[in-house]
Amino acid sequence: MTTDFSAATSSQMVPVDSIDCSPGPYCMSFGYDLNPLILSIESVGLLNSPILLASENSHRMVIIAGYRRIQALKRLRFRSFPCRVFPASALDPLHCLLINLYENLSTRKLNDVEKGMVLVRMGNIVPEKTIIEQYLPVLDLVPRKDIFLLYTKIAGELEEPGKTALAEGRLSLPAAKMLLDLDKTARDEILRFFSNLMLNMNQQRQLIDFIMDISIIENRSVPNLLVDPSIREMETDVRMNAPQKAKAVMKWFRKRRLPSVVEAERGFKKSVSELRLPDGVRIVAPPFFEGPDYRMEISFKNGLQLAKVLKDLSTIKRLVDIGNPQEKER
Amino acid sequence: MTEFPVSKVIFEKHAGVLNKYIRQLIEKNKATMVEYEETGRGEGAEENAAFHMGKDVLHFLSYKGEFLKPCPGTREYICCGYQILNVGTNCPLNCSYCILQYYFNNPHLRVHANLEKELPRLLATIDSQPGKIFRVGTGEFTDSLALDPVARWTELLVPAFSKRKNAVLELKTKTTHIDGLLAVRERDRIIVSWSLNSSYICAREEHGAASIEKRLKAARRCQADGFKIGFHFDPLICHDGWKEQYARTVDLMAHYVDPKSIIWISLGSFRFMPGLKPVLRKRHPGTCILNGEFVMGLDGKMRYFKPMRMEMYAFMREKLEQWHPDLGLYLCMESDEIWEKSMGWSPGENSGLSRYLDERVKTIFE
Repeated sequence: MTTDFSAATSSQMVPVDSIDCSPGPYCMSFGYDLNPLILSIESVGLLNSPILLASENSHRMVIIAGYRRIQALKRLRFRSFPCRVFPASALDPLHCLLINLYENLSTRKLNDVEKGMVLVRMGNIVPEKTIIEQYLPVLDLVPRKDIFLLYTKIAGELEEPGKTALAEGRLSLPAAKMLLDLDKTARDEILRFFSNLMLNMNQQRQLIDFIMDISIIENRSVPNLLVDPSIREMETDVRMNAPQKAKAVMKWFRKRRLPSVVEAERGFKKSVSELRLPDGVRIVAPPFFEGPDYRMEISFKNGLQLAKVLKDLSTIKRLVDIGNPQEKER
Repeated sequence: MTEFPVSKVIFEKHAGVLNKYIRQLIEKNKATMVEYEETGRGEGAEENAAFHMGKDVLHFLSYKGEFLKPCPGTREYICCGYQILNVGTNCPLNCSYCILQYYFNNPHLRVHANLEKELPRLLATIDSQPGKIFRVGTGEFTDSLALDPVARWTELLVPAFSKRKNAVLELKTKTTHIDGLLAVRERDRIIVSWSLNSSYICAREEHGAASIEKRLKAARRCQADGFKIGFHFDPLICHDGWKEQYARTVDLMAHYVDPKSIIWISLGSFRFMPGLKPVLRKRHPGTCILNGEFVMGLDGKMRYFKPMRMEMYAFMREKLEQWHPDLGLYLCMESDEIWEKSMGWSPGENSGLSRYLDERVKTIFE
């Protein structure tokens, strides 16, 4: 869009009482911290005027852009401040939305919830195909329908705690996507559970996968599974910090979901420790015992030490037993 | 004539001939007929995004890619060197484990209607390498016989392949749609094969497919009518009572078919791209196929933990060899180590497995 509407605006002092201070149909701010903006206004004043649309039906003007600035100004008890005001007939809803979008994009990156909000709002006025082809790239998103659907679901279906966690980066986008495939009860319970742990992106995805698999295999609801006494114990254990709890929880679920794998890994570790390998020697199994190659690492300070380690290794007769203990049993 | 309901038939202009069987299908199903000048590759992709595979839409189109391509395989596991003849994609069956749910962003039952036009070119490729045996199959991206009543693939392909001494055509199916095939005169160099499973998996996961017993009865008819037959236990799925269930399938095989003209029986365990899992959970919420212990394989696909795979293969080998010692058993996409430990020998690498299967072709057909 190349139309310049700036000529249609007038800059004027607007009393705060004459503004509808709700986000309205055009604003797309979520999960923001108002304090830096308050500090900025306190220090150097209002640098950019909010943009308003005069209303035909009521006396209160609608915010096109500057929702957060107005919130900050209100917090600072400003009774009026300069705004750019468009006459009601000057802009259609799409233009208002685009003014907000581009104004935001010129100063910051939108978080995933805000991107979803943009797309939902656009969905009311622009054909889906146009949004996907034209506006997803503007939001730094791949122009595909599944991406469009994911983001609109984030805005439309993810509950407030999930949105907040996503906007703050505590919940990863792939994990949010997985949660959106679950029913609300399961989603709420998992989000509550996650809030007590400090999981990285991979752990989040893997844990949701484990929880869902176990819930289905054992025919237990997610809330029922997550109140298992062993889990509750880990959650409430004051001796562990959040990352330690996360590790313990992951271990518990992994053992429950992949008992043979965990048992094989444990057996392998035990058999290697029983070999009494020389200091500085480590034997590593291939991931899940799937690949053909085991690996031995030797740390040594000089050739003399290496020669000694190799000599010591050659005397360990049970080296020939190294392998997946479960494959030997079968 | 057909056992699949169709609500719409899309026929691209210039894609081929609208035959009487398609017209009958449209009449029988009171289906809508749509003609397009040409449809793009992405046409219909939106439906797939919503997990509708468009299995009630029969789409005849002109395929722009190569019809004959080697099975991609992977470097990490031993591949049999199969050639895929891409006659269409998707099928009216709705098996929960179907990998096409993930692979294809093109929904609909797609029939590549320019096959007849392109056939001379692909046959020329085969004829240009007389020293090589082309083991060709149409059952990788679709069921070879499910759509045959309207696509008439067998009418076209069986005579063409029968004439060639350096090729065999394998028609792989889970259906009993063999009438078109039996009506064709030629038998040489044609293998009709059935995917088999436990009756439990068949009933629970292979929606729309014929029962195991019906498949074996169809195999018996084909065998009696002079066709060589094959079987594929792929995917083997670990479930409660799997040993008894798979043993029962082997018993049924022994009851219905003569082992002597079986060219091969493949074994492969369930494996899937990680991205297929959410699709399966959505499309088949009651499925049991994800219940096992899966780990990431060397090719990036999820597979059963190795000891489990070895146990399944060794069990199947034992049962099948008790029935007959020479069935051309082979593993699909497994490692040298698994071959050794569960089959008692290994082809070592891709070329070794190719040689083994080529020898089977020579033994059975020559």
